[in-house]
Amino acid sequence: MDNQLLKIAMGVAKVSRVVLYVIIAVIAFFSIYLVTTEGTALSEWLTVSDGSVTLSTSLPAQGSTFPINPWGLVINAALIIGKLFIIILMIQQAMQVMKSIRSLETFSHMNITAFRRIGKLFIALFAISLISVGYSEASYQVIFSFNPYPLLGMLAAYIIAEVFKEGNRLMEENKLTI
Amino acid sequence: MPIIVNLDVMMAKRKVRSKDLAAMLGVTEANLSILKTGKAKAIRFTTLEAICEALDCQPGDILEFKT
Repeated sequence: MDNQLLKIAMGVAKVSRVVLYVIIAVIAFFSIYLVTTEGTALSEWLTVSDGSVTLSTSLPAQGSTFPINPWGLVINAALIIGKLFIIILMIQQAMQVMKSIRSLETFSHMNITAFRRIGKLFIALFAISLISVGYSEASYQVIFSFNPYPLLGMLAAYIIAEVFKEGNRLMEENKLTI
Repeated sequence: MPIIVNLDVMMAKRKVRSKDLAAMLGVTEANLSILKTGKAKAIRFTTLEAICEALDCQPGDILEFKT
């Protein structure tokens, strides 16, 4: 099936996946670098103010230090990497659905499974989003926050899976209608 | 299934081959086989009409209800 919109969507999905992999690699690199150098190597580039950390090429003002325990940043980086990886898995499932639509197998069983997997990935995303690590000069805290949007995504994915299930039933019935 | 398809009986009476009947009906041999073996879930009126015209018979000659 030659569908321009579907082709564009596939292209965007492929590019997004690559971009996300690159972002994960960058975050992982800086996290490992930070831990192995105990923060000292980046202390010239990082400035701290009001509990936030900024990466900047300008030298820090006199007297500013790097008081943050780098492990706090690493834990947050790991949480971000986890979220990005889940999004990559969702994109892969969506690409599988798009491929099957292009080959005129829209309501195949594979697509029902794909949407259910996307629903489970949204649950995982919700679980990871519950926790983040906040840090200040003396200590770091574990912060719990409730973000309902992944749950809405999960609900939408499971509803679409049921719609595709019904579509599959109708398709099978149509196949056996002569 | 209580609805029996007696297509093969009528085809034998009229001496029509599956390949020829499928071509006359505009369906594939595989679909015709599904119909003959009773695996079909439904039949379109247009298909039934085409079968009756091709085999010069009535719908009742093709379809039978058995309890």
